[in-house]
Amino acid sequence: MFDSDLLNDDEFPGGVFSKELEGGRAGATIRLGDRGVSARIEDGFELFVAYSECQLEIGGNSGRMIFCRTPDRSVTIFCEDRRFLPALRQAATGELTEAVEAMLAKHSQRRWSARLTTWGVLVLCLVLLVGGYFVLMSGARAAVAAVPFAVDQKIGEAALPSVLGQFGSEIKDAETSRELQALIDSLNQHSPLKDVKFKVLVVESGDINAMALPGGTILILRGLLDTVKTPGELAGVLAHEISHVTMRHHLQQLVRTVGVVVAIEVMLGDVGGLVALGSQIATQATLNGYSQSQELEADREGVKLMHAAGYDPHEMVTMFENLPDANVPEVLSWLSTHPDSGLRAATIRQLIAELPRREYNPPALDLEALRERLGKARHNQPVAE
Amino acid sequence: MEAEIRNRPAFANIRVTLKQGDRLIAESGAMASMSSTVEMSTRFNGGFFSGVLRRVFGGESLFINEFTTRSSGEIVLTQPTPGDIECIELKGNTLYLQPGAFIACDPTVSLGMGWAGFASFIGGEGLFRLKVSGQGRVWFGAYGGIFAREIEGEYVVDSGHLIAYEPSIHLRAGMAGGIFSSFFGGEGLVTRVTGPGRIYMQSRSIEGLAAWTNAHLW
Repeated sequence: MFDSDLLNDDEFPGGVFSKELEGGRAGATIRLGDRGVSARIEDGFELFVAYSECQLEIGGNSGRMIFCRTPDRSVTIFCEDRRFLPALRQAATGELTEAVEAMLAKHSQRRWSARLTTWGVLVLCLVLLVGGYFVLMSGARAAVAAVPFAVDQKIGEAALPSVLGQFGSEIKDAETSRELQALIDSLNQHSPLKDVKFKVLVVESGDINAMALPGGTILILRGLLDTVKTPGELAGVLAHEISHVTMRHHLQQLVRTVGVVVAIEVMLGDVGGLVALGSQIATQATLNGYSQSQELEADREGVKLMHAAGYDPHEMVTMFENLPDANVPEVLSWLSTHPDSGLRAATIRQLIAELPRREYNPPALDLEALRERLGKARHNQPVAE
Repeated sequence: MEAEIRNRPAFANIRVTLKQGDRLIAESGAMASMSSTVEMSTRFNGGFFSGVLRRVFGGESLFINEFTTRSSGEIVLTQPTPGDIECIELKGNTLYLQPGAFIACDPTVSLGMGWAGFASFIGGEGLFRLKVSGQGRVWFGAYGGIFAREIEGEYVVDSGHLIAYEPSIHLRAGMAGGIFSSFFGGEGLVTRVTGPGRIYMQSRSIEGLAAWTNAHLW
């Protein structure tokens, strides 16, 4: 392209359309003479449009390209340089003044219009992004409420094999299952979804964790059972996990992740596709955790369940204080989806302080006997190949 | 340097014969095969930051390959989509190419990045485009066949079908008809181009293929 740095002050970079040229077009150096506009191409060939017959147009991709055309449009000289139009007004005094003035006015108007449009679009995008986020957050709850709980159960069933596969095999012991089930039932009878049938599985893994799948399956890892100091602490963990299920946090994650698509499917009553998609997202949500607000919400509901069941909710706090913080240094905890233990403990203490006073009793569960039974059950189980 | 576009129009590719001193610039990943006497060097596409811009917004590679030879050799260049390849000779003029269209050029051609505007974005043509200018040959490809048209006045091009246009062409996004016919007639948004100038169109659009495929997956 013609380097504008090499051009004289009265020369401008541009181009020309003409059937006389090979290919019908070429880049050119535009010059404003006394009688008209000339365009000189690389090999020295020159084309000319006289001011007296010049038809001016403005347009092009930028909206400010000036076209100087012969009446039969056999030659079109064009230039996008900002200096060109003012220079043309000066050079073609008398002949093109009116047309140039009209063009300058039109160009100025278009520039303002373009700036307004650009700013308008940017502001609209920002509003849509921010507004969309809040609509999605509130819309997620409404959308989830419209979905029957049976969908959660189907999603949980579909996700169970892959979640289980991440940790290890199930440790089967009928007595342990019965005791844990009884503990869960004693908590759940006070929850908003007391008809949900919870199922508990103990998984062979040294990790200190428990997790709930949508629909009511709760996985407790052996590492957690080895770590909790009292049955009350175990009840605190279970109360927290039960709350994730009854508050349908998995489905909320699903809706937020897939957003509008799921909302539309729910409105149209088509929930079949949710199961397949939900299984994949539920696995991810179960393994990677919930949002910070969902974790704190589960703590809040868990405290209420503990209190209603007659178990001391302070044991949720002692459990957090004993728990080694997940690999997230305190300063970065706000980045993680798991609020740091210190924050959770403080939040729980505040919640407990707001509860009416009552007498608490520990859950009827022998932790030591449970651990012994699990130890025996582990040894008796066939080793996986 | 001689170049020939072969196997047109559906599976076009470019066979380039280089002699000592010849240089060819090509999009990263365009090389399908080459003689062992041809050397390839890779560099950032016009510098790191503009290369990044081209990659993120222009659909072009962060890198550009330069092919040379100390004796003679042959290179075959191709593109990812089935379709035609066109060669145009720039004579100091400029052409804007849609993301991903560029394949190769003579070293005398300048490559740049340009803001395509919201009209282009709404019309499905991207926010940015590649600008080729200077003197020399440029090869660009398309999905489907390529056809050029001289525009005088206004012309309508469906979204996804415009692959290249001159700077003298004005783009405006619009609807194919009224609201009802635009959306229920299946055309949706279109690009209204105003001349004078030349545009290049492709006979197929990737978005159309994707939509058709998705509809048949369930």
